[in-house]
Parts: sequence; C-alpha cells; structure tokens
Amino acid sequence: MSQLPDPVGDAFAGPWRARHLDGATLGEDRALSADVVIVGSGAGGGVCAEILAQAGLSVLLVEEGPLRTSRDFNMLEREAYPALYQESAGRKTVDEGVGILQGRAVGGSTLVNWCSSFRTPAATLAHWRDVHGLAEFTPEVLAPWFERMETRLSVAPWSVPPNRHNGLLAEGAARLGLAPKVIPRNVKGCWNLGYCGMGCPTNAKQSMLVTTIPAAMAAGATLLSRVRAEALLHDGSRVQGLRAHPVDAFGQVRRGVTLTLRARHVVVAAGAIGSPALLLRSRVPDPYGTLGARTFLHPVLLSAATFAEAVNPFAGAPQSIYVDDYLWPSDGSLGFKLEVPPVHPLIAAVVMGDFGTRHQEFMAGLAHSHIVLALVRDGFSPDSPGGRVVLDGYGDPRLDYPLNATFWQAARRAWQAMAEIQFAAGAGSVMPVHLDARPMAAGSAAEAQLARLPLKTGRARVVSAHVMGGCAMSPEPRGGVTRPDGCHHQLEGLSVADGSLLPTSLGVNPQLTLYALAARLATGLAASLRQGGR
Amino acid sequence: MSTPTPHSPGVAEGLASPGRRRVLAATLAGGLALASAAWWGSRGDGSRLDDPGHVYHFLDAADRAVLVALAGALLVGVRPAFSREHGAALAQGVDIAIAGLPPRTRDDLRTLFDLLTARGGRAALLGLGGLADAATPWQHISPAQAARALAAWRDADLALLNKAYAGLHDLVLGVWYGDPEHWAGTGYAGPPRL
Ligand SMILES: Cc1cc2nc3c(=O)[nH]c(=O)nc-3n(C[C@H](O)[C@H](O)[C@H](O)COP(=O)(O)OP(=O)(O)OC[C@H]3O[C@@H](n4cnc5c(N)ncnc54)[C@H](O)[C@@H]3O)c2cc1C
Repeated sequence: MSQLPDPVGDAFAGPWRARHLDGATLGEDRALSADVVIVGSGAGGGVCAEILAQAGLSVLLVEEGPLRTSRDFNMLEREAYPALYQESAGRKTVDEGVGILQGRAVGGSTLVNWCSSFRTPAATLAHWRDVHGLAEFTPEVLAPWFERMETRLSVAPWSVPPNRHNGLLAEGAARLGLAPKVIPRNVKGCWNLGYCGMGCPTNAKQSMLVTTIPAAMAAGATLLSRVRAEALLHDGSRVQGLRAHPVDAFGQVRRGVTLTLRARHVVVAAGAIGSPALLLRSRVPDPYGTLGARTFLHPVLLSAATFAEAVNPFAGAPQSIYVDDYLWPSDGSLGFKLEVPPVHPLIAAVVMGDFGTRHQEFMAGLAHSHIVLALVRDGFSPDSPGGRVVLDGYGDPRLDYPLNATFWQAARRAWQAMAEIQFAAGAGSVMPVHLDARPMAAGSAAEAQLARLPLKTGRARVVSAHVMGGCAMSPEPRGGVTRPDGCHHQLEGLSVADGSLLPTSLGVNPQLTLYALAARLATGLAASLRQGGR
Repeated sequence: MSTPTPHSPGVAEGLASPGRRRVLAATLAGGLALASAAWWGSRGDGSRLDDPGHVYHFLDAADRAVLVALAGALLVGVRPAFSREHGAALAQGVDIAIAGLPPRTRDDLRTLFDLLTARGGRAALLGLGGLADAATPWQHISPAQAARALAAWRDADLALLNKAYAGLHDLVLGVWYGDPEHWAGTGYAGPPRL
C-alpha cells in the first residue's frame, strides 16, 4: 500500500460513507429510489453522474465492480486483473478468437485505461452522417463538448520525451517517411511510471474515479458498488427502474438478495457488451433485431521485435506516440492505427500463446522486447459487420465476433507495416504474434514468412481494449436501438450513454468520444428531467 | 459434472437453464480465462501460496495432479526452474484465480478437468498427444510426455482441444508470472516503491 495521499478513498471513508453501499456487505433485500439510476460508472456513467447530480437531480450510480482507490493500487498484475477487469481480464469472444480487456470497478475502463485521448476523426463523423443518418454529428457541433471534456480531464499532448518503447515507434516510422505524432493524455502531474493499466497509484490519471464521480458524490449522489443491474423494470412502453443483485468479494453475483431501484429515468452506461446484455436480460422491445448487433472491437494485431538495447516496455507512460499513415487506405480496405501497449510479465506470458523454449526465450528477453499494436478500424463497410452480444445460460454476456477474410487482409498488411517500422528502428528480429511465426531477420525471408502465415482464428493472437456498439444510435428505429439523443426508440424513461451507442468503431481510442457524447446527452437529459419530462 | 461451489450461490435461480450443466464437449467452447491470483496478494502480509491452510474450493486432488503434471511442461525452462515442489503453490494460485471467473467459465473448467481426470476422456486427450500408455497416472507422466500432449492440443484441428490448451496455458503461465519471485529471469524489476 502506498503512502501517497488518497483523497477519494478518504472521502468515501469519511463524509460520503453513508451514501456508499457496498453490495458485498449487503445481507437483505433493499428498495431505493431516485430521479435517475445510472448503470455503470465508466466513461459514460461517470460523466452522466456528474452532470445530472450537479443539475440537482437525485442520482443512484450502480456499479458491479468494487470501489478501489489509489491506496489499493499496488501495481501488481495478479491483483489488478481479477479486481479491476471483466472476467479477470480473460474475457474472450465466443470462438475465443479475440481476447477482450474491459474494466469492472468504480471508474469502469477509465480506471485501467492507458490515457490516450483523441477526438473523433472527421472522417468517422462524415461516415456516420452519410451512411448512418446521424446528420447532427459534425465536428462543429461536437467541438464545444470536446473542449469541455478536455478541460475537465486535463487532456494535453504528452509533454516529456516518450519512453523508449514509444520512442522506437517514432524513430522507425520517421525513418520510413511516415508521420508519427504525439498522443494527448488525460493526466495531471503524471509520474511517468507505466502502471495505468493497474489503477493509477498517484491519482495523476484523470479517470472517472478521481474526477466526475467525486463531483457527483459532492453533489449528493449515492454510489452502489458491487451491485449488478440484472433487469430493467418495464411494462413494454415505460421503464420504472431496475432489479439488481449484490456481487460478492469474488465477483460472483448473489441472486438470493435483491435490490429494487425505482427511478423516473434509467441511464444505461454498462459499457458495450454490458449495456446490450442488460437490455437483452430485460427483454426490451427489439422489433428490428438491432440490440447487441454491430458490436465492434478495433481488433488488434501485435508484432514483437527484439532490440540489442534495453527497451523496458513496462516502464513509463504506456502510450505517447501514434502513427495514422495506414488508417484510411484509399482502396477502401480496413485501415489500422499503430501504437504500443504497456508490456508487463503476466500479460506478456499469456498473450504469447506458445510454451516451451520459444516462450522462454521471449520471456527472458522481455526487457529488450518492443511490441507494436495495430488496431483495425472495423465497421465501416458491409464486409465488416462486427459481432453480436448474446447471453449464456447464466444471463452473462458473450460476444460472438467471427474474424472474417476482410479482417485477415488487414491483419497481414498490419504485420507487414509493423515489421517494417521495427526493422527501420533497428530491431534485430521481428515476429508477428502468431503461433506459426518465428523471429525473422529483415529481408526476403521475412516477407516470405509474412506472406505464408495462416490467417486463422486461434493461430494469430488478436486482442481488444475498445468495445463499441450494440445499442447503436440511429434516427430510424430500423437502424439502431437508440435515437441520436441516446433515448431508447421503444421505451420511455430509458437512455443509453456509453460506448454501445457508436454505430461503427472510431479509428481512434474511444474514451474522449464517449466523454463528449455522454456530456452532450446528459446535459439534454438534465434539462428535460428538470422540466418534468422523460 | 459441475459441483456447486461456495462461491457460486444462487446460480440455479434466475436465468440459468436447467440443462446448462450437461457435459457436452461443445460446452468447452467457453473462454478459459486468463488467470492471476487475486486474494493472496491482497492479504497484504506476504503470505505464500503454499499456505497449508488453503481450502481448495474448485480443484480436487485429482485435478491438482493433472495441473501439476501439465505445468511441468508449460513451465519447462523457466528461471527459477519449476519443480513439483512448486506444485502446491501453483495449484493454489490457479484455484484462487478460478474463484473470480464467471460461472460459465467455471463450468467449462470443470468439464475440462473432469475430462482430464476421468479415464475415458483422459485416454482420448492424451492419445492425441501420442502417449503410448494413456493409463499412466498423472504423477508419472514426464514433462516431455505432457509437452507432446499439449503441443498436440495446441495444433489440433479441433477447436475444443485448442481451447483446452489455451485455457491451461493462460492459467498456468498467468499464475506463474504474476508472482514477483518469478520475474528475475525476465529483466523486470517490479514496480517502484511509492
Ligand atoms: C486496458 C485498457 C486500456 C485502454 N486504453 C485506452 C486509451 O488509452 N484511450 C482510450 O481512449 N480508451 C482506452 N480504453 C478504452 C476506454 O477506456 C473505453 O472505451 C471506455 O472507458 C468505455 O466507456 P464505457 O462507459 O462505454 O464503459 P466502461 O468504461 O467500461 O464502464 C462500464 C462500467 O459498467 C459496469 N457494468 C457493466 N455491466 C453492469 C451491470 N449489469 N450492472 C452494474 N454495472 C455494470 C462495468 O463494471 C464498468 O465499470 C482502454 C480500455 C482498457 C480496458
């Protein structure tokens, strides 16, 4: 446990104590009511909580993960993944083709994300207007919301030199004549440690835990942690609240105890996968079968290189450089964005799917490894339909997302582009993260290996930390689950305000888009609730 | 078959369908999740995994024998070296990690361990690994033999076997490299003191 100040933890132990209910300690049924119940305390839920509570509305913020604050963040993977991530960081698509990282704690994925903060690209918004009918989504309309959230969360380009891991991406790209750029990050007084993914121990990261959630608490909100929203209460036309169950210290739902939460309005912000799952469990009207469909992942390919120098890919701000030269290919194929991930031993050992000598060689060389990631911009063409959220026999969500030929074409180009950059930066060898790949030296042998790699689910390692869609916005009920203002097309008293709203992936890391969208939706919602509407 | 555990109370209620526990090979299609041990670290007293007081809630003695035999292969070459004396610590780490996984994944793992410990399934799975005598007790299977079986599952054309491999890989390597004592060979010095 660190000795650093933990003002949020202190406030929850002190003045806010009576307004925080920890489901793990709850022994009997409870009934609560408020103007608004918000499900999920991540990017969308956190922003809504602040705005709605400050508008004078009574707010219940419901989160299935635990409340953990900076004094708990001891930078150990083995504690962070089970405590702070969905399915202990082991969530996978139905065929296990993609591993999915999502947060599950107060603060949601913002508690464990890597701080890259980008506005929605103009090209993405243009696509939404042209193809998805979202006419009001122009850069001009959204600009004030971006500005507001950038200020609120201290977003600014990373101002100190990148760590070596990012620096090598910049050097390699520059040598190839590409245009590496500096990533804006939502940090304040960052110590440049590199543990963003395990909860920020210094409170530098401006996650929802240290910004909007304390503001909502200060404005009178109530937090229910380790409480899982099970199903909305509705009569087919209007939502009256929801039924929830506590979650125990091991993260398991305790269905023997029930909380009944009544509200004028329910905001669902349980994240893509979590939000469609709640609506599916609630059997909300879904006349056009859009619920849970078109869920996108920015599926990520990885390329691992070895350098003679120490790279220490586990040290320092994890993401500070990006390369967008391949993001919008002119032939209309799926483009990809290049960044690097933080690389710590547990996650590295798992992501490298082999075992034995080759695995040991990789682990022994971890400090000299350089891993680039390519996140593929899915959802922009009919041959990139994304996946669908379904429920298992326990009511828990799963994402069925088969990787198709269009994706694999992008994958091969991505491995090529990443290898070229790594060789240009001086890598001794490069290896696509794929069970059939071997470390390769620059030259024709590398090209031959890349051309031969089987494009097969399970052989290539594909991961995602960006889940988007499943409750898409559309002006037409046929086109999606929600209206452009986030309200549900069929049910009154219900809106969605998180990553599940997106009609496609983004082509950039999602958090800033979601902050801006949620701020805009919540501001509109606050106004109409104050007038007695919705 | 899956046995109810102390950490999945009430799963029989709610949305769970009565047929869910049927052991169909296809149910293994569920994610066998990445694992790490949550609660030993958070005891905060530096207590070790081979805590003799640990009460196994998921892995029984037969499961542990399988796990340790396969871990011997999955961890071949690690520094410091894995030996069967580390087995109890590893099994406890895996047991604790499984406590935090969703019910579906726990069912899948139950199915997998049942297949590996029961004679029929074990023979079929090990036979694919080219083991001459699939009736050899797990305690007597060498790391080389276990490695052949694991490699066969990894490379099989059957998704079921690939998933069994991936699940065991992630649990064993995740628990191993989650332990600060096992970072020495990687050049990772661990987090700074704050
Ligand atoms: C490791 C990692 C790194 C990332 N790095 C970046 C980055 O650098 N830049 C960036 O822009 N984005 C990044 N992201 C993605 C970004 O954090 C997410 O896109 C964003 O937080 C999503 O916001 P959200 O509101 O949709 O969902 P989340 O932030 O995931 O919040 C949803 C919350 O709802 C809770 N919940 C779910 N179901 C229920 C239920 N039934 N009842 C109660 N609560 C429920 C969940 O536990 C969770 O806390 C990263 C994500 C991860 C996991």
